[in-house]
Amino acid sequence: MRKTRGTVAAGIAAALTLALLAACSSTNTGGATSTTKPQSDFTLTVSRWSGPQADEQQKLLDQYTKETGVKVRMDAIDYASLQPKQTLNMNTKTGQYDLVYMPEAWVGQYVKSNFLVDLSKYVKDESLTGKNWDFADIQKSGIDTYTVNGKLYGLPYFVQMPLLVYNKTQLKKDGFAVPQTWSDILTVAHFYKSQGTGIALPFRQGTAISNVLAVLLAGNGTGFFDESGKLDLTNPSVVQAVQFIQDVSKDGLQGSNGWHWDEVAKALTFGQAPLGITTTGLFSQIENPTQSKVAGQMGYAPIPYNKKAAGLIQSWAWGIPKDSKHAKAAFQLAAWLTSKSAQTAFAKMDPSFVTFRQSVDDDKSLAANAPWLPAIKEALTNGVTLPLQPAASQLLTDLSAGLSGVVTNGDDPKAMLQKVQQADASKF
Amino acid sequence: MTRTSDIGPSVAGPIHRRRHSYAQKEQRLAIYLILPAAVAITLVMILPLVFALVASFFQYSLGQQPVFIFLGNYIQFFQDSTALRALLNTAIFTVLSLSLCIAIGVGISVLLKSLAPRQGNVLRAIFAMPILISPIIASLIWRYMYDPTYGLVYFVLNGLGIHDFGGLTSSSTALICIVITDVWHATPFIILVSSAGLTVIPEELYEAARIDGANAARTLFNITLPLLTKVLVILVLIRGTDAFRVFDLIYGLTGGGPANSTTSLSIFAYQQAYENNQMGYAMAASVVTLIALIVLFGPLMRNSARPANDF
Repeated sequence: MRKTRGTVAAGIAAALTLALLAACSSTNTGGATSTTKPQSDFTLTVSRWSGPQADEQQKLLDQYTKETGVKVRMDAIDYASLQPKQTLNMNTKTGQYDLVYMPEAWVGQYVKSNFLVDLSKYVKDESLTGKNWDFADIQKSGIDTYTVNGKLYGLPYFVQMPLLVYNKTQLKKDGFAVPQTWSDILTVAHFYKSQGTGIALPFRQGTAISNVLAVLLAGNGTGFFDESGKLDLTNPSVVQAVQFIQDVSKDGLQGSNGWHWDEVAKALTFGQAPLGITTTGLFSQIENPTQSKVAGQMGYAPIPYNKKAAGLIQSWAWGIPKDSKHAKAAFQLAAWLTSKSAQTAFAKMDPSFVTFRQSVDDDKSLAANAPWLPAIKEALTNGVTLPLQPAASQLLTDLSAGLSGVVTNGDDPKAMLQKVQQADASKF
Repeated sequence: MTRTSDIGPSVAGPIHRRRHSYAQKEQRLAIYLILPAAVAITLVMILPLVFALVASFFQYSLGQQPVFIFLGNYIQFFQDSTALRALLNTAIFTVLSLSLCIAIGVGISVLLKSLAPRQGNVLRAIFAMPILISPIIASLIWRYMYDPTYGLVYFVLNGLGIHDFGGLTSSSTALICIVITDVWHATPFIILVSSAGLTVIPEELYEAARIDGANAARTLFNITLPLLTKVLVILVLIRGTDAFRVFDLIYGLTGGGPANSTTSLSIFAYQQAYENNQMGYAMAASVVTLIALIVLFGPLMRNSARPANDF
């Protein structure tokens, strides 16, 4: 009897241990699965963020499965977790992802870590791209953004940039033209602040405030680095741009110093702010008559400048991890997603989807639903990207904390920039 | 009743051996039953801890060759003004949150005990509601509460004639706002546990105190709190370590801003690991957090299993 009890106990213990080990070794993360007419004996897994456009993306992936029979699973997670999850998977070579959706800011790190497949040969292989794919139709600025040391690591897919959004009706009523320069915007913002509102600004400590700085620097004829590539934050033009950030924040809508892009878009959508700075990816909600109090009343312009109009290219591309077990099939999916027909279909579903394909951007039927396209084109004439070096993320983290101090504590712009320069200069 | 010593050696030998072998089998059974838990703890706690400790001695970024720098990351940590700010913020947050939670939580549970049981139970259930909400959802709720345009907090303050409250957008008030959110979220746990602790205090003691003419304060400090010590130690241990490791609330409310005024050690380690890909440095920050936790709460952990009269 005792022997039996001991054996049973040992059996239970062994079963529990095995179950535990099995649970620990499982890599299944769940998620949506496209099951329409499955024909392939493998499933491609796509990693992307679950923000705006994820639903439309799923519809397109379902369409791909219908057309080709290749099963595709989309692992959509929130933006903050996306890079850590992609990085951990590619670093440990789990082979979980076949296609990763990545902004240009991550590419330097991914390439340095040897995570990505070089796509230079794939884009020339018609058996993979299909006959009408037309690589030359993709804007060169997009291709350049994802080219490192002469090798292409991502197929540019979607571009967004921060722009000035203003209520045309309100500004006209109050006797203002479209604010173009720093001086214009300070006058308009000051007027509305005195009326109890102000300009809605994405000045929470984080990426948005440093993105705005990047545009202001380009609009002031300068950048984060000097001509030799050394960090140059103490040059007077940079100090001037940060001083402008401090000045305009004084006329910000109350709470703006704690806001990100989405909260600015919300303030504009609900008609609480007559003008603000937010990103194009959120413009559909501002123009959606069922959600917005100001649909049809809004105008779009490049972020005001001191010397010339400028824009920040914030883009996303499809890359293929080196540990993908179906790299060619993954590229075929990426080529299909970046084809004119798929991108046109996407833009029809979501007008804020702006592509790098010139033929899609020039499509007049699409432009009618996207009144911000002319502003994007104007800003792109002097389009810049955020610094892409691997150490850039540390620089931008430090700058966003410093800028947050400038707008919330009234810290001296020059002293803040000197401090960041001192901390980060050696990394570039 | 028969004792082994009462029986002759020829009989006692086999009985002793049988008991010995029974004890051995019992011990084996205990080992088998403990094995799954031991494997789990080794896999999910000990190994990651050893990995973190080893990684903290390397300049280590994902996808790149690690370089051994021994204490380099720790030296960098104690020279990094943002890291030291995070350490200070964490300490301030822990002290404020813990003391407010304990004071309010125990206070409410003592008051609830003085009510009729039915009223006390209803109010206890109402007060316990925030505990059902996950920290990240609590942070989203309070982010809107603190919104200067729509937020209830500003609405109330404006009603009271306070118009210049900085809230989450001022370096001087953001951490306090987060402490208030944490107290709102964590106090129900204190109420529930201390209410359970109060039920085991003999009613006769209170009756004797009443007969002796002791007032409420004297009863609280001479009877309730001393007899609640053991429970309070556990509460300080659980809530203190929770507060010291705070992440979700800050991440949802401010992301560490403005100007790093709410960056905690956990937020700092997360930023280093996943935004800056400095895994070794992030591990060093995590190990510093662990050491601080051991120094602050280790003695309480050791004492929590002692008999009550040892305190």
